[in-house]
Amino acid sequence: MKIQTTEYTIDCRDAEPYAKLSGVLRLASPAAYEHAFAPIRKHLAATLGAYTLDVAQLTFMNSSGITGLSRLVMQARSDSRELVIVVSDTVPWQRKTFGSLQKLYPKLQIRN
Amino acid sequence: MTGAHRLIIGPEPQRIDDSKRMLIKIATRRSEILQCQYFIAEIYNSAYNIVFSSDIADLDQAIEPYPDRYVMGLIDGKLVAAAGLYIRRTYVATYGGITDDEIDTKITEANMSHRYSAKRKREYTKLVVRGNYNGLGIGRFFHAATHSRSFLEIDSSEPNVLLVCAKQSIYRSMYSANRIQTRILKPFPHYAVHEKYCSPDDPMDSRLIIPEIDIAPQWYNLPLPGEFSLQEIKQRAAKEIRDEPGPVSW
Amino acid sequence: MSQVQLVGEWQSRIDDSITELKMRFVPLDLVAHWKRCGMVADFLAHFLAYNFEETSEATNIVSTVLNEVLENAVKFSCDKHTKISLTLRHTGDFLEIETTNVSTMNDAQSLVQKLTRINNEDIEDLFVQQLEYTAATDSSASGLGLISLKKDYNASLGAKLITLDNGKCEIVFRLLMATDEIEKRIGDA
Repeated sequence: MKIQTTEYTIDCRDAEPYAKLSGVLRLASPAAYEHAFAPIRKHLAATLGAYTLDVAQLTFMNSSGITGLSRLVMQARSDSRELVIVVSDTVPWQRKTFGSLQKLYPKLQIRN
Repeated sequence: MTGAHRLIIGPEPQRIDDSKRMLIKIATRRSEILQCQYFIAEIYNSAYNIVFSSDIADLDQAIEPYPDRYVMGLIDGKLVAAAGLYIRRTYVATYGGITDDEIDTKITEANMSHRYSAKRKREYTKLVVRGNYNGLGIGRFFHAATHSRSFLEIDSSEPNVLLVCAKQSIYRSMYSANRIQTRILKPFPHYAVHEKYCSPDDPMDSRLIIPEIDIAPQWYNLPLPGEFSLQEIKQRAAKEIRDEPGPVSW
Repeated sequence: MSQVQLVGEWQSRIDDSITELKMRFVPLDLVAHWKRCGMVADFLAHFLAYNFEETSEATNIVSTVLNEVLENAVKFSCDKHTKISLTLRHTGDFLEIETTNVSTMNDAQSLVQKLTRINNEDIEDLFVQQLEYTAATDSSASGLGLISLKKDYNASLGAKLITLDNGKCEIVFRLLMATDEIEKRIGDA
């Protein structure tokens, strides 16, 4: 399933535990993200094995989005699901932000 | 958020001078259109915490699309009520999953296919009233008066069917009370943006209005722009509260 | 008589800026077209980025920080017609961002509490606590923005609150960050 807007793309691969977020995500509230990320949450529940969330090409995201992502991390945590977030070293905000999400779920892996 | 409904942003209705009149006119100048857009954005943001966009609209992200045309209600030059009309992409078709076939079926059932077609459809939407003017009957009167063909048929040489999407209580309190009949198309799908608006007890659905037969002639033929006495509007509202409204729809 | 309260790290360390920009907005403009928040943040970031060697890195960080601060000023404006302002000052070594908006007394008190916690508690712990808290509540604001700015960019955050006669509160919010947070100093690599 793929959602594409002029600003961002959310691509959940069929039958594969992999989703990719790209573009610019600056929605107005955590509630707005709750719904934007609903396909990922469903996909996470419907697939098996270590789940990869690739945000390497997400150039901007606001703090409401971090809250949204943290809810996905918590979903993986409550299912003891392996979760890998793929980040990019060339997108500065990602370098700064993602490390702390591991405190939420020690099994979370952050990869470049 | 949908079609037609009033929102309350101020706690107390304002005491207004009955000798004043409300001017109802179509927004044509850029300044008037912006006034309407911002007024709608302000009230929706304060009531439902949602934001607007003219180029990206996604109900699941609580981003609403702006209407294409606006009508305004002014008292002493101050905007107290506004409503919009989608004339290009309708909300009901885009988000409500209503197809042209479904609309044409309803038109045929009403024996009106010689006048109307699903190809020519519009949608009445985003009726808002300034909070301190609420509870005076202004919203309901404005709703009725803006179902004038002057507004609904703006920039069109052929008649258009009118779509609407609202919660059931609005169909009762506004449409039926104003003698505007609505034909049920189907329930509106669930979207995040409507969570603070409707509830399981008061669900939303999409409906069709065939203006020439569904809108009371006194409203459909009302010339706009027009000026209306607040005293008459209030008396009318008081009378309607006594009268039992007609059937909700069929 | 208006009351003034200072919270957090209010003292400016900037007396003479090299670059300075100030913008005033009607918050309703940004509510009416939400993308304008990001647009303003991007514009100011691009403008400032020429002061850095790695312009794209600087743009990304400055825009991220500005967007967060501007979104807050808009969200916490109780009357969306009352103008807000955003000021950017850059000395080379420091970047200061200041916003002014009028909020409800409740929102102002929440800001006081948040800034007090940010300035006194372990920021990583606070970040995790806030995520857990927001996940369990259905709030429209995440409350995470200011915490992130301190955690990710070691920003100093402070505010001046002025109680107005109408019972509302004018908030002058100030963020100061070292430009080392945006790009490494020459010779440090």
